[in-house]
Amino acid sequence: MAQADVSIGTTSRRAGPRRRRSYVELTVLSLVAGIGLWWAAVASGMANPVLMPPPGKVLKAIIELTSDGTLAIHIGVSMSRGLGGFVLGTVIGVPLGILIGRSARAHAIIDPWIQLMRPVPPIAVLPLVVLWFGIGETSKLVVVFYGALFPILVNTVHGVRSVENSLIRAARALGASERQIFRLVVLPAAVPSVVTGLRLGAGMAIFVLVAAELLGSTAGLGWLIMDAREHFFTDQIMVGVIALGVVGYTINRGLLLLEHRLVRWRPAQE
Amino acid sequence: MTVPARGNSAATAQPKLSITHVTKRFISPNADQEIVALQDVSLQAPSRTFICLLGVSGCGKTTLLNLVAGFLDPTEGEVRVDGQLVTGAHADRGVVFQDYALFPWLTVRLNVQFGPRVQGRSQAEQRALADKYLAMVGLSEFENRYPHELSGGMKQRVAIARALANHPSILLLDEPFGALDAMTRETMQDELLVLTTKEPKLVVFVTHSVLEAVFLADRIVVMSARPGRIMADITISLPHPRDRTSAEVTEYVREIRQLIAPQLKEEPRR
Ligand SMILES: Nc1ncnc2c1ncn2[C@@H]1O[C@H](COP(=O)(O)OP(=O)(O)OP(=O)(O)O)[C@@H](O)[C@H]1O
Ligand SMILES: [Mg+2]
Repeated sequence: MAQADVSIGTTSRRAGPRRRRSYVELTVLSLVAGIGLWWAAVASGMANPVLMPPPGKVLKAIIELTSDGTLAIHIGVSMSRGLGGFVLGTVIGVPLGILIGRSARAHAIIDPWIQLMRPVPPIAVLPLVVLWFGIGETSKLVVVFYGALFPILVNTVHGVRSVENSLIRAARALGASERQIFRLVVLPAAVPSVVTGLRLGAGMAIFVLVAAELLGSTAGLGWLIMDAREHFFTDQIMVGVIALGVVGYTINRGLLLLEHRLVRWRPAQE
Repeated sequence: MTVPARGNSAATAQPKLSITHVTKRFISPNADQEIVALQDVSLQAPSRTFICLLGVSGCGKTTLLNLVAGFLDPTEGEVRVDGQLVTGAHADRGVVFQDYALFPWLTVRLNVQFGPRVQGRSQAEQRALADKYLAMVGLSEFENRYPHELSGGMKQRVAIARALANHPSILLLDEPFGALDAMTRETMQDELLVLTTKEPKLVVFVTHSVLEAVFLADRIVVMSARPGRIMADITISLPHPRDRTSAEVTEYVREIRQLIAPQLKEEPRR
């Protein structure tokens, strides 16, 4: 029997771990080529250097804004706002989503509100939020929270509701109580969907935050961009945009790592 | 130990399982139409018997098994185990599903320990039970794998070990080997017979393979479709191990095929 086991195991799995060929050179080449094109466009006079500063000038601006600490301050301000709204969205969205996913009554009461409010772009509620909470930090926190909440909420509800019935039956037939089924089956089964919600929520948080900062603030990456525009410092605008790209990328990578840790049990998606 | 405590009815000739005049109707979701899945089904079974439920697709085999498992309630009639009315799932009735229903976030070992764990057994007991049943199904060395890293046959072995680790007195299996290739399927049939001989119990095994039923069963309950009824109850009095190609087995298979042949002709209409 042991013999049979071994052969069954090896024949049905893939023949050896297939390693994805890495194309690091191509990635580097692509980045270099892009920056080269940018430089060439400006140097050849095709692009107006005032509107489109050459890479060298942007690099200089990055170094300046980094060395005098300006960039770090604005990144810090934006991050703490974004994080605040995101954490609030998580702390409220996940438990609320679990509740709605579990209780048909809660679903009947709360779901219509979600369905009505979800399609509204968070920016659209900003004017009202500003009237209610003023133009300061609170209104930004609220609007970021609003933006992050729905992806987190909706994905959590989905995760809790889409647990396979056969898993619940299996647990029941193994003697699990309803509480144990919730804790040991429903929650773990919902984790992948919740983490997806967190990733989408974080993206939404950044999106909404920057929009709010563009529209009215005294610090933050959005403000940095608007302020540079006032002074026609296109190089600094570029720095703000690049900083947003890097920050967003880093956050997404972090959450992906978290996802890999939490749902190691899932088959690798290829 | 997990058997429900009852009065000391030690010597009464009470059947282990008793299904009396059970009818199960479903309301079909789209039309307001009733589907009679089972019509007046009665069946008694003593302990230590291997019963195969045999019938064409849609004849109500799964429905009947789910009624015994306690996942469904009969529309009419009653299901009793040890004289007690079945009102829900119970750890004394282990279930093995066609789609394995393993908890994907738990390793093989933790899947097998799930039953003892929710029953409140000590860590040491849980581990000892898992050791024992993983060895019994020949998967000791795969204890730290996740379900998605296993072949279909291995997954079903885990599911069987998980059900047995709870020491149920009834084992219910719904086409457990239906998704396996022919060779693995035969190996699994042999192994299941060894396991249920080691720890005798009432086994109810759903299949639509006549040969599988004749190979495994002490008793074959043949069901007819629309509405599901018991058409025949055949005792297979051949000693184990049986030879799938022997004249006796072949004769039983032929007889039962003739019995259900009229049903098979109707099947494409479904
Ligand atoms: N939850 C349900 N709602 C409505 N109809 C159902 C439900 N479950 C089963 N049925 C119907 O009851 C009948 C019997 O179904 P059942 O799953 O018990 O058949 P089966 O013998 O197990 O078939 P198969 O061999 O294909 O698994 C079918 O006509 C099916 O459509
Ligand atoms: Mg079925």
